Amino acid sequence: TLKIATLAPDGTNWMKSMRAAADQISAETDGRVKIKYFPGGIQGSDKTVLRKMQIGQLSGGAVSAGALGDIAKEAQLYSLPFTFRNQQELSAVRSEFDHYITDAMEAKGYVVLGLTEGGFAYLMGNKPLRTKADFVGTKVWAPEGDVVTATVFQKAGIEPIMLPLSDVYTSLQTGLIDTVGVNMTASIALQWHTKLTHVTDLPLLSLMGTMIVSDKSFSKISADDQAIVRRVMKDTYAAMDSQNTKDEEGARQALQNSGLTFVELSDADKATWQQLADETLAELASKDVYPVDIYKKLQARLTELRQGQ
Amino acid sequence: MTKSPARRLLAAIHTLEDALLVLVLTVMVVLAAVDILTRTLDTGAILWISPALRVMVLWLGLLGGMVATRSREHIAIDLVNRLAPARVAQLIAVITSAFATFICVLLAIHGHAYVELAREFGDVAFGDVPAWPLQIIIPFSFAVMAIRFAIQTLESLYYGVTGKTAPADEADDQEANA
Amino acid sequence: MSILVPLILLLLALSGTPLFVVIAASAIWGFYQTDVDLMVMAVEIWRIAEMPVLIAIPLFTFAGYLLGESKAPQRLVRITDAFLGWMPGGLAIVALVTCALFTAFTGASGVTIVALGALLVPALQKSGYPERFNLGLVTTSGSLGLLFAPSLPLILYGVVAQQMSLDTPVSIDDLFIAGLLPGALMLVALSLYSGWVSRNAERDHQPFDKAEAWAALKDVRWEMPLPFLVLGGIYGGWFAVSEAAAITALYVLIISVLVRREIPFKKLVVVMRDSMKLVGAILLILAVSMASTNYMIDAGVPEQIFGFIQQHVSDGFTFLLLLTVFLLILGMMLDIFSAIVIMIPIILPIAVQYGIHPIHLGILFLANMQLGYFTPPVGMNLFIASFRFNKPVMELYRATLPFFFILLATVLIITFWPGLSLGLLGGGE
Ligand code: NA
Ligand code: NA
Repeated sequence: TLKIATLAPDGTNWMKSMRAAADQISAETDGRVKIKYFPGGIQGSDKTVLRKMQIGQLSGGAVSAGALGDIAKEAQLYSLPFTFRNQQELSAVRSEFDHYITDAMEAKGYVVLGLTEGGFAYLMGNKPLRTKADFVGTKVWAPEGDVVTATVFQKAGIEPIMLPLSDVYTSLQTGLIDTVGVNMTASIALQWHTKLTHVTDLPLLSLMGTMIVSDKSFSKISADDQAIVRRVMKDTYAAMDSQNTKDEEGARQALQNSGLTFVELSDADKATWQQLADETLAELASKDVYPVDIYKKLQARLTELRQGQ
Repeated sequence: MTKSPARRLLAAIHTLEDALLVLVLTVMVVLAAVDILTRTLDTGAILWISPALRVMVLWLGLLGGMVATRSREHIAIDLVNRLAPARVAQLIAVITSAFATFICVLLAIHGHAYVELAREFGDVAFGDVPAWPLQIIIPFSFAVMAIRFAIQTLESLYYGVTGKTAPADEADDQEANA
Repeated sequence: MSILVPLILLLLALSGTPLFVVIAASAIWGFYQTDVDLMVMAVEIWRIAEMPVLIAIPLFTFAGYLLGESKAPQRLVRITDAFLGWMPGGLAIVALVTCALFTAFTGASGVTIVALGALLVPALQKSGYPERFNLGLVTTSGSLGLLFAPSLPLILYGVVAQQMSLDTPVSIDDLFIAGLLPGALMLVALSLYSGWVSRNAERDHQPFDKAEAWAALKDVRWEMPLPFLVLGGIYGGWFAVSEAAAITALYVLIISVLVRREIPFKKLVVVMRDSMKLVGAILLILAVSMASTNYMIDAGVPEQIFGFIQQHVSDGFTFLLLLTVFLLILGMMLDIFSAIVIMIPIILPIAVQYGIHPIHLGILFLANMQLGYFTPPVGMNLFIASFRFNKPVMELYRATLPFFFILLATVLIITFWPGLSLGLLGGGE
């Protein structure tokens, strides 16, 4: 039995396809491999889940790529600010660059069963946020322990307020924070959108989801069964990519319908954001937060792609 | 009143614990206030304060637990003792204290293993602060609680077997260490 | 063997073994049985340091002890007498409303009992209410207010239910509105009871005296900002709960030690130590409870119990009745957040089949959980109150019993009268 924990709540489309995958795996292995899920964060934060994998209470977890940064900095590859201009760019480089992440994780004793695109984080607040000046007086949330996001905001001259996910809604309600960076699907699922009025229409950074299993648990399964688990999970995750893209589109429409204003940025504004991102990247590189060489390769590839269009 | 060296050592340990408790609580009140001040005065919040405050909560809880074990002030259902005669109650206390010792020893040992693991993996609590020195309070506090429960086991055994009553000056000691 | 271990643990618990030891032992035993490394205990204990909501506990506890040790209770009695002396149960009602609003923010983690109880129990005592009533009132109030915005469990329910793509959307704002009348019903029921208890107390029927009112006002000038600071500050959106706790602790420290000088430095150390002993007692239990909850989740215990109940249900009425019993037990055993995250995805689809509105289910779920906090024999708040007021748990059982039955009646009304929850939303019968 593989015990897998996640922050995603039960009943979501995502959990439904995970359960379907578990059923398929159980059927194909004649019940030799069963998967038990612990959804909704009942096993704790991503960090706690990783620790529980180390001591063997859990076999694996579906966690954000950012949480894996402490294990292998390669995991941060897709999660850096303003790397991609849209979903297509990300999808285009995946076949070429995914293996850097999976290889680095395998070297540290983790099997990556799936890697999926969770859309982009967008800035959402209660007024149009175009330039640095617009940020004066805003109270911005950054997820706890998220160095990348925190550094972006610090470069923009604001100290983000670090709160765990669970405190964000109340804090929006009471006004402790008034600006968040989040993908569109989650902003609706968590109902934050009811407390916000404006979306800055610029993808900040891509949110990746991963499913990892510790070597220790995975090696208890026979090689044939391992192959089945890998194949089914890979297919499930691939199907999820297109589902997620559809969900994000739907969520964007829903946000527009519920009256949120999408703020377009001028090219000049975008350039200042890009500069901010570059400063952030420089600082993060000095702290050795991400794989600089591979990231340069990724950027070169993106430049080629953009010129090709 | 003269006191034995053992008593004096015990008193010194108690004073040390109290001092640490008072220190952590004071720092916590001050830091929490500083956190709000820097945030409202727009001088830029200090990012490590809020995770540090959360660690202090754990420290205060475990230090408080250690102090509470001195006089056995833990949340408990004291049904049997209230119904049983004094001598039987003392013998029940032997069992419960021994059991508490055993569990605290387990928690201390596995807490220690956990700290070692965190050290080995270089876990970070916040910023550049490693987690293990902050986590060390877990095995330490349960070890101290285990020792205290062990002493209480022996005391209850002695008074239960001999039928003597515990000396009254023990209570005075508690007050004297205030 | 499987029944022997729980039985021994139960006996040990009844013989006065510290509860945290018993709970830790049950988790250790469970994990040991399932081959999980016992380091998991330390992982769960360390999670205490990852929960920002807990920062409020030591700070509010300390502030509460300081206020309790100063002459603040006397002043509170004086001012309530001056302004509400004509009303039967005046102070008790003030206490109920304050506790409910406070709990709405702090959750039912026992902070209300510790922080406000230190002030309210002596005040009620001086005002002539029977001791048992005071203990019962404060213990009960420790979870009163879970139905009022912006209580975290209410929000969490909304988020979890929202994920389940139901035909009826569950918005958090609707939940806030739905909680108003059921929450008010509980408050009114307890207020009526308080008025009835104090019907014979002489001091509760004083005529209003302008001069005394003014003098009492002047007397509380230093404490006056506190309710505005805490409740106003949080409801107004100026502070988070932990910030309000920090400000309260610092402010109370300054006024009681430096301004009023009612607590000398030497005594301050004792107050600090005593208050942290309580924090220790609470957090130790919380920490090991996280481990035992984690074990129960690991082993799928709640799902099994609920599956059993489901087998014996034929109609909506029986379902709700059994659900009530089940939730009361769950409320005693699990912390409210785990209960929501684990059970709602299981219960909600079944409840919807029996025609129960998701918002109504949320309200009745929380109302039941609220009761679970002081349901004998193991409701957590009973132990916290027992410790705080240095009374045997047995006495707390007796003290909370009338409150328990009054609130049980309101919970049944809330459960079987969906209109009460849905009326303000225009969706009731
Ligand atoms: Na509970
Ligand atoms: Na609880």
